[in-house]
Amino acid sequence: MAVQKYSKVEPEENVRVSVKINGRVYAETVEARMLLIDFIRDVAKLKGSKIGCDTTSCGACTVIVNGRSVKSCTMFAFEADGAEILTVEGLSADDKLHPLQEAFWNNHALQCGYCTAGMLMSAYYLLKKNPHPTEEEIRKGLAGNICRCTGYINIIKAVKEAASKGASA
Amino acid sequence: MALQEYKWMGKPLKVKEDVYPITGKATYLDDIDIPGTLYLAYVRSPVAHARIKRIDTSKALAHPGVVHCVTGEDVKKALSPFMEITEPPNGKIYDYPLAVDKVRYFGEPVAAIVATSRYAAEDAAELVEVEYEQLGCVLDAEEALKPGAPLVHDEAGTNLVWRGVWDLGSVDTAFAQADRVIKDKIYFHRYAPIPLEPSGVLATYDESQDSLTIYNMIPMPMFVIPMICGALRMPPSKVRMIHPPNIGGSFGGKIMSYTHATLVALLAKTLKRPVKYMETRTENIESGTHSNERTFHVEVAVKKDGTILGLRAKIYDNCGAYPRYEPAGAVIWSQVTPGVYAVKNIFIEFAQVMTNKGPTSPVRGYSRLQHNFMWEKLMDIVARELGLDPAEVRLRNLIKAADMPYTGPSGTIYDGGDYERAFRKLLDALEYTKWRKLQEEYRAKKRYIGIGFSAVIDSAANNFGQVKIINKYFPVSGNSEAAMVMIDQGGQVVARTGTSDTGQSHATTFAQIVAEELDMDPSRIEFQRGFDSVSGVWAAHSGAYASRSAVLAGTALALAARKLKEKVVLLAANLLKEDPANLVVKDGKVVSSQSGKQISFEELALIAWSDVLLLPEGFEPGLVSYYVYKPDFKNNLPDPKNRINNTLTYSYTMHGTVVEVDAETAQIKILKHVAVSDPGVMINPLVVEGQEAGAAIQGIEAALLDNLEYDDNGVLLASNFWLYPPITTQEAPNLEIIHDATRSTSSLTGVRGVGEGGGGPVGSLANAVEDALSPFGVKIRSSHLSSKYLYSLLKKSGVKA
Amino acid sequence: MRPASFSVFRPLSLKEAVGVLSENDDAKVLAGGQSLIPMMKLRVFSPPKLVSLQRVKEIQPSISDEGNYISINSLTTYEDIAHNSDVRQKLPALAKAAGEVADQQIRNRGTIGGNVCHGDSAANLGVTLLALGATLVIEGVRGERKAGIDGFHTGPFSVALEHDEVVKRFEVPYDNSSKQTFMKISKTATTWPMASVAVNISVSGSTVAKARIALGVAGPTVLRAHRAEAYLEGKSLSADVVAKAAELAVDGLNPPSDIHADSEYRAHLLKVLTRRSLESLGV
Repeated sequence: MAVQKYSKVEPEENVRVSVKINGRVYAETVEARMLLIDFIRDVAKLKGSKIGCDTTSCGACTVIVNGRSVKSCTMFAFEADGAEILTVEGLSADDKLHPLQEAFWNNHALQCGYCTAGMLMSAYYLLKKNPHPTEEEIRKGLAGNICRCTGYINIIKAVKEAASKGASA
Repeated sequence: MALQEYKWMGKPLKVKEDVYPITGKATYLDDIDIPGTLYLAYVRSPVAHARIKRIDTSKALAHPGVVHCVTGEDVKKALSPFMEITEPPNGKIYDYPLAVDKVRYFGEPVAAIVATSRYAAEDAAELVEVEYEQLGCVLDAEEALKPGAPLVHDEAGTNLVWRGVWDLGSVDTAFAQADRVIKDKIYFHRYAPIPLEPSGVLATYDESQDSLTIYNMIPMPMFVIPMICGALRMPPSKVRMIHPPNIGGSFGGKIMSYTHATLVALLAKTLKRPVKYMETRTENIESGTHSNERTFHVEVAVKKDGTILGLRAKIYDNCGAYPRYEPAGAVIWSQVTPGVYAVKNIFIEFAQVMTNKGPTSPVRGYSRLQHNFMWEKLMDIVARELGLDPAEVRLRNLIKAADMPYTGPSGTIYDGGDYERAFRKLLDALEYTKWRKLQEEYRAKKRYIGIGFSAVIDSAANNFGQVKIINKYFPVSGNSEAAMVMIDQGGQVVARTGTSDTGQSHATTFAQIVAEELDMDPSRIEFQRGFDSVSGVWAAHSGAYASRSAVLAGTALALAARKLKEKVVLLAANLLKEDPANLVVKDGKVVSSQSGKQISFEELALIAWSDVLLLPEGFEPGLVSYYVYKPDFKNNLPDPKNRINNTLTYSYTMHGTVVEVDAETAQIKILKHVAVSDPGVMINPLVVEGQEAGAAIQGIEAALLDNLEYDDNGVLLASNFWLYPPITTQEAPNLEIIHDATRSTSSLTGVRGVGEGGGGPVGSLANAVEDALSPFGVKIRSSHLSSKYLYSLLKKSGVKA
Repeated sequence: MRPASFSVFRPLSLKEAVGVLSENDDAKVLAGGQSLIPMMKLRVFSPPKLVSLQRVKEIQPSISDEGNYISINSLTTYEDIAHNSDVRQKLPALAKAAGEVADQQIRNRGTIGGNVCHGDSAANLGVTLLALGATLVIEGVRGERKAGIDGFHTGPFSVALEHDEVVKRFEVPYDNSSKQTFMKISKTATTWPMASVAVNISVSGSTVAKARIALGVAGPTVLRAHRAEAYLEGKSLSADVVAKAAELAVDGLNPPSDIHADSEYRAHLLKVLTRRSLESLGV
């Protein structure tokens, strides 16, 4: 993706942001202060990622930006200009569920489902970096994602199952 | 006991509807985008108690994007005050969606901005100028009852919301016969349910019909209609309540969102545009309602062997600045009056009091988890005073299986169970004897492990008749739930009920109930999710609260399915020219056991819906059955001694926790936690276990991490997730949950409501920590074990680092 | 929940960055944003201008072993630091401190430059780099300069940087005889530490040659326990020595009070952590 070149540094109150989300380009001029999560939900209209707090604590907004899991509520949209983003809507390819999604479903790793998108993206990143994590490593990897319903027990089970099925691809 | 007699119930089937959040396709309230929507942001009070002298909204109104601004004065003109459950003894409470004349708690909404974007609304909220004249505040319930205490509501003339007395059995005799009388004071702290999705409302107004549509997450949507409609001065027929298909948890907190719903609806009507409010996390913690804060002054009469003869308790409940759903909590604890113990002589004086803290509401385990904690702390106090094993003291006092169903001293009818067997299973699974030995060995090495128990009752499916104890004119009693099961024009079985879940997996579990009645695979049953007061099926008591859905909606669905089955058999008998007694309904067909002739649901549907001239005489077109179920609680209404059976089912859990306490740093580590629970017949064990685990972890979190601490000026210090941190994967322990299920004797299906959990681990943790630190003589009398609290106790007892 | 309006500068070079800063008194630097953005969202702090360092070519993430120090560019993330093999081998306390910041997502974005320049006395890297005796390489309109970490923290959330200056990189010395550790206690794994301690000891035979003990959340800034350090020189770490050093470390300290811990409890935790840190070194 082409990055804009600046010949002189001018302040911008509004910024042209172009991102590729789940393989599709979304481009819009937005306020500099627009949070990435708002860009994803309100500009790209991808509602899967959620807002659950206001102190970067809960992880419900977690997406993958240029291969790394980030809390999209704690990034400005302009910081993602030119980036490639993966959200929960992009996890399944051709209507086939990702092994993590299968495992979450098999293990009832959710109840209200509000944490699920962020949790899946964090688990996705974890398994990419560490395809066979121990329970301790899973717990550490998901510590930035709060779940209020499950007590995490089934989530851990699901990630273990996905790992055993070679879900890091 | 025959729990295995079910074919589709009892199976841990995959939860169908889990796929929507998993694929990002679930729709929660904020996912609903209506063109032209305006956004609301509140201005909230930075002080606990003050007169509002002046509000200047001019700068805010001038801000780009701002469309409107309202204050308490505007709202007072446009709305009637909210209906209260009762009036306080000497006066009235005036309650509006915005503070009127005074602010009464830190974070109370004072003004509201409506703007074209969320960002602009928040910008403008910062520009509103409010001048406050601070007043003295009162934060403690007992202090608030003293003469001269600041009045939270001047018009009420008192801070007392309600006071009640229960004098059950022969308390004086019991105390006269005691070997010892032990006195103590126990405290249950204030915490917040913090569902991951904060609350929110979206309202639209149809000018042509003068009608409102309110998208909301209120778990008792029609119960609050009198509050909303009363305030708006609009009839219920003009106010449509809709839930989005998915709600991100509630744990009771969202019940009070009728205040937001009313304001947002008023603004939608005034501005003739859709208006949306999404609560921020900080707002949710400050005022998205709190769990009851309670102090127990207890006296217990005991025999030397640990038998409890009687209890006296003076209880003070701090419900914050606006009662709203209170004082229901002032009687709801009496669903579990003696806990799991055979104590018949109980005297309780209960006072519920307003203070300048945030409003409370029916948070998970409402009023019972506080009461359960009192009993569980008491059992250990008794054990320690008498030099007995806390397990033995419990075993000595547990209600016996042979006495089930057990009518308790306040009229509750416990619906079966074997408490002793469950408790012994717990001792076994916890490896109690092994840990006691290890405890001694570790002490020699200056390592402190402790074992604690908590035996809690998790009452479910409430009887609103209990509110008549508070207000005999309050026109709500019993409970009810509506259900519809139909075979639609395509031959598809469709079911619907008035509950709408916030993560309880209703669609899958209810399909299992209907499947059981119609003997077909639940995956073929379409359960329609979501609540809609115009097009849905509901009763005024509908909702997911008080763990009622499995029992009440479950029973209504079962009975609706049975009615439908009767119709199906009648029609099939007529069309096949068979005796109905020979017909079997199975797998979406009706088959004759005699001739083998059969007819499918699809074929029946075509005739029933469309080819109606082929219908037999008297058979109404269509294949739909409704049932509105009203349970019989037996002791349905309170007697003069306030005795009533105020819930239908009583699941229970025996919790055991082993902890290690670092006496230097006051950090607590959970080494093992086991819960033996009797949830009754489980519709779907996967769902039941998930909720039990979630409830237990929430209990652990409330005990170790979360306390709504206010400073002396009534400012909430713990107002965001940095200061009020939710439990993460790193602190949440693994749990062992064992089921020892018996049938409920009170419900049609043998199912009991589950999932609130009764706060078990709060008690077992408090007991385990005290047990661990008993060499230092540390006494735990509070439900919250922050490390700073523990450190202060250790210091007081002279522990050196 | 949403920040106030601002304009953003997006320089591509350090020269541009310091130029913009020198011309705009009211501009604030944005690195990984994991400390700044939450404050802006709560509107605790609403700078009208931000200078995003995201594309400044000279300070992109990079870690290199320069022989007796490791050079870390200021935009290097916690995650990069925690997993870098040179850092893990030669600066294990730094790797540990970086690996224990908040959570994975925050570690993926937050930077060493941001962590140190934010000046929070609870910051893991701030306290650890103090124990490791890092040097900062700084660029401003007047050119480049170097500054030691000692004295860099000047007060709560304030550091010894001119408004136009940007930290380019950190030079963190290491040596084979060093024994080091980082320990903290926090309410939950992902909230700020209630207390933290980083210890860096160089050993000669079985005694301490030099010690650096840094305390986090101990005062207005991260602090060195100078008296404890001086006491340890030439001694071997017996139980008595360690206990005395821990006492000296907190003597006269006035740690902050907050909802999680009051000053006295905090001082107590720092003492225990100091003692346990020294015990863990196996000297």
